[in-house]
Amino acid sequence: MFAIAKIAMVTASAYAIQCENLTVLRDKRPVLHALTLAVPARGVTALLGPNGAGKSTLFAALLGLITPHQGVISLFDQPWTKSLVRERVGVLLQDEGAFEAMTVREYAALFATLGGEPARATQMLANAGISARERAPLRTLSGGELRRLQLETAVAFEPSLLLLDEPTNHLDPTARRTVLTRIAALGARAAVVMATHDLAEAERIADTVLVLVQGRLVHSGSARASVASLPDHVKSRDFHGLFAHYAGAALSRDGRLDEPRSEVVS
Amino acid sequence: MLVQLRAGWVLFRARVAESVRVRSSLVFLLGLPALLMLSLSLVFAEGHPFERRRVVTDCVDPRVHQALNVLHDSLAWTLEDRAHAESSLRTTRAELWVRCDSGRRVTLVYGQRSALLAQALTTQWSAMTVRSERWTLAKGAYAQGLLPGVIAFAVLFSGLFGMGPPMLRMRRQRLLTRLTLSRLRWSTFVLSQVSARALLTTGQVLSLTCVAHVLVKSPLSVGALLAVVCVAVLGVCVFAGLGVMLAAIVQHEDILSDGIAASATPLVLLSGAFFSVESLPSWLATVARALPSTVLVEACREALEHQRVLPGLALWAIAGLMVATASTHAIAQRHTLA
Repeated sequence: MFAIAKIAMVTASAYAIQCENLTVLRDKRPVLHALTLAVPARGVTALLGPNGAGKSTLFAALLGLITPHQGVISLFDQPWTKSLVRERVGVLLQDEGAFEAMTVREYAALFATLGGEPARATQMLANAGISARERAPLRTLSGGELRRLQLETAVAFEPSLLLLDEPTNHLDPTARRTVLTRIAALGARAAVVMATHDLAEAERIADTVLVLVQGRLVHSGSARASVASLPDHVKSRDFHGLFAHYAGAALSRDGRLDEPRSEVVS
Repeated sequence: MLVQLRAGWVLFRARVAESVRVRSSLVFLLGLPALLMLSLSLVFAEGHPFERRRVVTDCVDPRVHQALNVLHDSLAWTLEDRAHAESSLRTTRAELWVRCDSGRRVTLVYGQRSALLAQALTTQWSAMTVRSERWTLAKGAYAQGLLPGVIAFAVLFSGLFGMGPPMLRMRRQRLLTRLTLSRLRWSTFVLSQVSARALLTTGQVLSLTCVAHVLVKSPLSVGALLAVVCVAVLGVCVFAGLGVMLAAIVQHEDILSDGIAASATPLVLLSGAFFSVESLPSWLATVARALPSTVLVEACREALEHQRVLPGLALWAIAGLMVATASTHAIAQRHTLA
């Protein structure tokens, strides 16, 4: 009965994440400024921003790794709790390492066991496309293979929300495509938030985009509409131009706004 | 050439800056020599410990105690049961054994270096029926006496170095953060790591004991081996706790080895492995007896010579595991994504 009620509640959640007035300080300086945003309960949301924009800090706050100075976080319409994170949020960290002495299967089995379904390890390896390498030590995997495996470990317990911090970093174009295809598939059954610098990635798989610049949310909206509305010169590969366009100010090469303006939250 | 010098200078500065950036690391780095000197000055505050002869007795007769107290300046004595007193003499931790035999007769059992002392005491204690007996030391007796200390230090360093640095490495690789976010309990994680370390240390200790048996003819039995294995496992738990706690304080892999050395120096010097704790100044002997390293050395001795495991070590092991769990949690919490 309780399980049915829980499923009904989950189904009813319109948003996976809701942040209100979220401010995070680091060394007494704000890294996130009164951030208010919502992430839908289904689909891929691309969190775009230059280095230092606060993408990883937002993830850290959502995961409870840092304590916000002020503001409220809700997950699936429920107040944020650590147990809610552990039960329903999967995560792929930026530049995440691995237990190098483990074999591929042992690593998959560890997270499958933690997810409550040890038998799932085989499926995880198949999803990552490395079943043939199950006895290989993790240190012998290529960057793309390891990233695919880590992505599978993040979804080992079928989380309702998946936070992926720059999942395609340091990957070659082929590996990047494979990872993005998998992320798009995951977005069909869970809320996926993917931090990235890359507009093309966001355009390819995201349903929604959130643009962060200097800890401020400067744009949010549907990915397709957002990209369509961009001037041609901004659609080019110059992401500094993109973020400056949204921030409405010049952006220096290190990603800082010359004249930060008040938040523009659509 | 100039380019190389400049590049070398930049690398040198970066390396120094990296090492001194964390204040606690700096304290360990600069404090280590001072701590070493402090430990030495405390241990040898009343001269070399061997200047005072160590005597053991199993006599409960107050006349014997009074007679030994008169010589307090030149000898340190302790009351031990017969088996312990004999093993103290056999492993040269004591130079003279004042043994009470039947009929209120006292026998002074002395080693090679203590013939004159025994002779003097026989004359001085004329009020009692005293005789002396020469104890012929087996070859390798001193090495046998050192064996418990050697095993204890293998365990101590295995716990300290086998747990602290790997925790910092796992933090750097964000593995601890990843585990923080999983359903894994820290106690499970710590137990798995300590158990793995304990297994390796057990192999090391068994090998040491067997080699010592072959080389210095130290007594060996199945019971002693089992007891040594138990002591090794418990000892790793104790010092794993200390290793992870230091890692949580120091935060920096480079400086952690200094931190471990700084902590291990007084622990080793005061452990009673090389000279008896009773030879230390009395207040320092009290401190030394409370240290986990002293408990571990004593536990190794009990395991090897009497096939027993000291219960006090089990309490230290529980404390060590609790400290390791709390410290691992602290290390993981300090790390953030951004």
